[in-house]
Amino acid sequence: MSFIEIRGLRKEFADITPLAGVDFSVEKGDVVCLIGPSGTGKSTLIRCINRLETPTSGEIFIDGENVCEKDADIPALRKKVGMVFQSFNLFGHKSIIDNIMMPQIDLLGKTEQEAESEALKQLKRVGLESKANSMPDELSGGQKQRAAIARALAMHPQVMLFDEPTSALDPTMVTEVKNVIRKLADDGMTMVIVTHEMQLARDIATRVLFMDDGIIYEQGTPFDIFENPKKEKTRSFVLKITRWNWDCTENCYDYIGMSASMEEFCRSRFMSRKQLNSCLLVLDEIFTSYIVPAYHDHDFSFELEVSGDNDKIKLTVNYSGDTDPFEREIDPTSEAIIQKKTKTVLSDEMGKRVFEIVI
Amino acid sequence: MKRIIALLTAVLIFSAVFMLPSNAAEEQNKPKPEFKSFDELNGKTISMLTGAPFEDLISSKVPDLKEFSYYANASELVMALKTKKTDAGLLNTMIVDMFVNKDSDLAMFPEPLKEAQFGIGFSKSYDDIDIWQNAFDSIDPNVIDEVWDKWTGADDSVKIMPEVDWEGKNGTVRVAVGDSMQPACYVGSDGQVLGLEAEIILLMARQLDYKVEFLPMEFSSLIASVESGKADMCAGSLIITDERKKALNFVAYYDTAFVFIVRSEEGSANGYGIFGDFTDKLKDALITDGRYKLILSGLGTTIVISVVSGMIGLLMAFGMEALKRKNKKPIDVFLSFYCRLVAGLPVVVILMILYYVVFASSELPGTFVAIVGFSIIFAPKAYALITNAVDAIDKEQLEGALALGYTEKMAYRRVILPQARRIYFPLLKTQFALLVKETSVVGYIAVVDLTRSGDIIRGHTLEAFFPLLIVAVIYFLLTWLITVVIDAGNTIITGKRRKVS
Repeated sequence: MSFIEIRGLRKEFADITPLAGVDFSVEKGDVVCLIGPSGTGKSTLIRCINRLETPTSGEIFIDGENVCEKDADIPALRKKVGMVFQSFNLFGHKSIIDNIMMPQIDLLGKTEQEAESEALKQLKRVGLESKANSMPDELSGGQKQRAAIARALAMHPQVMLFDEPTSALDPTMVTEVKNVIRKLADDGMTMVIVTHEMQLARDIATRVLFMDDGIIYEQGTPFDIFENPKKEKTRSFVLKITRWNWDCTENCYDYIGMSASMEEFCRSRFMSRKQLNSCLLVLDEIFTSYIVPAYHDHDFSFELEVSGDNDKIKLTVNYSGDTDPFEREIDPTSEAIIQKKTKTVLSDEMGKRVFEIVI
Repeated sequence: MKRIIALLTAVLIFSAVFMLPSNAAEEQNKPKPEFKSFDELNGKTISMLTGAPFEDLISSKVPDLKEFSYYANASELVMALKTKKTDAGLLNTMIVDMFVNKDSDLAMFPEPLKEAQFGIGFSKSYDDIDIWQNAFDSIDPNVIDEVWDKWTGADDSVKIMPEVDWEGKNGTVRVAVGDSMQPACYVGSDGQVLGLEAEIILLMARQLDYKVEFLPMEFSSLIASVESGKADMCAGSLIITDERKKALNFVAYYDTAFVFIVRSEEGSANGYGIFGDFTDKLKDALITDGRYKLILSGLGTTIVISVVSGMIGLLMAFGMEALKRKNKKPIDVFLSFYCRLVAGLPVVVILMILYYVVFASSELPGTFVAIVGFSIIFAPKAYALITNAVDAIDKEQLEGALALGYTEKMAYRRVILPQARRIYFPLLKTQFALLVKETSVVGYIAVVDLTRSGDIIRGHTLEAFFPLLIVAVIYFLLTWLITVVIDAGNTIITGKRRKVS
């Protein structure tokens, strides 16, 4: 049996089901990253592992022990499982060193000297020795999170859970926390990390789990998930793809409505003025050159697909009918514009023409 | 701010200059009253004690009086008379005799308003009233007159009680007496009960061979304590009225009358200043007769009641908080009912209910009842502060502790409560200072605390300003000192921040 083994885990609330049957396992030394859209049960899952949430059904074995049983010793389980929260959860009334010493003394029965030397050791590990006497309020977000990691590490957990450890930090502080987590991965710490930092997941994960709709939708190595996602939702998520659609059917079209709708979509993606103008120009030229003369014979639908940081914009035109409306002579100026602004991606399928807009 | 202080000081000094001229030398002759007939009182302010039912009677004799005003006790009324806030005050002959004998600025109005009788009150359920009546009848009336003259006289040095040299074979009677009703009955500086009526009761008891246990208390509690069975009889210059006869049986012991006390002619000519003979009055309020001892013992009582009930109340509050954390519906209902009940009742009412109803048949001392009462009153206040402070601590703090392996109970004790303490502690300190001040109503249940001892001294000196000032200063210092002590205690409890090098 694996170090952590989860079988058929469900969590239901009255109006929502964040976990709809999750199975996975974590081996010693694994670094498992949970990714996926917000509200798909990642945090609920990780909180079930140390029983901050009580699952509705299913089993969780940690080190061979079923922690979902009624008489399970939850505090003992939690000592084995370190947890780092989004909001740090340092004890506000204690200095950093006390935050780290107090649980060791209270829960592990260490003497003050032992606890103090352990605390200093862990603070050194996260680079915060100089802040030992500070109060949590006096630290920046990144420093607080590193202190919280040191506090968890001082309990010598066998696995560390991270629940969106960088989500509450401003961008300048994300790196320092990511680096600490990287170092832990290098040290061979077993970790389960819920994160929106794709780069972190890509760099340190041994396995990436993509969650959606309360299940593990796709899993694999970072390469599988980030470079070669098999499933549509995974691909959309990791490439941050969003789409715009418009149909022109039944010999009827509303060009003004269509271009306005596309413009709105482009703005919602925070496109630059230049990108926006290119998209609108290309749509205009394609429409007047190819669609207007042929709309009696074909139904058309348009799709604009934008990925990542607007670095890839594709305009796809789907058409019906047996003939190819794009196989015709057009006005040379329009042709020049289309050629300048787009790379035509030749598609071997009938009924589809893809223009990649050059940025 | 500085300007305001300067202005206040200037006003104080200014007014003091005008108030300084004061009592001239005493004269041997009986002073003549300022007003000599009812007619002369027309257009004047007439005062009486709160609740005295004589407005109609006075109006029939003085049809054009300016207005009535009311005072809580005789010394306040006399104070008002001397400061010319009023022109005549209706009191009984015993008190008027005493004031007039002591102070040449005052005089008795020549025409009494209404004849009456003084009586010692007995519980309706006390069967032996007849033998007390017989005992009284067998005392020589001249002895009674001597007693009267002694206690209403100007010479305080002769005002001592007869020695109790009998065994009390027939048992003990408990006598509720007013504690500041000079000259009828009042508490002396060492706490012993003195006074005209107290002596008459001893004279009767000697004949009957009874031991007497005096229970000094505020006047308004006298009848309640007899009705509730805390005492067999009561005394407090009670005038026999039909109304009172419904609650008590009486042994009448002296004829009296309601009569006006007015300024004497010279008193009317003199000004009166509270700062007049400052040192004399201060000395009179504190040193004479060792009155500071009364203040000190009152202060002790106040401290004992507030500290002990503060502690118990705090413990109760933590108990209530622990109960609340069980999250059971009936417990919540009980707690909110209790809090609302206490919040909705005046402190005095709670104390009186405890003393005269709940603990009526017990022999528990008033101080004990006061501690019970104030614990009950303080607990919901402290509980509200604590529970709100606990609720104000983020849930994340609890989760942080739980995730490390703390049990809920331990997390509460080590993480939540210490942080809540930073919120509730300053508020609790203020509440405790309020509690100290609230205890000043314990006089209602026969406890002599700081306020009450001030009242008693006022009864002795017949002077309101200095006893009040002294009591005010002591309360102020006490509450300030208490907050300092609590702060020091808190520093010790929370400890210093750990430092590592």
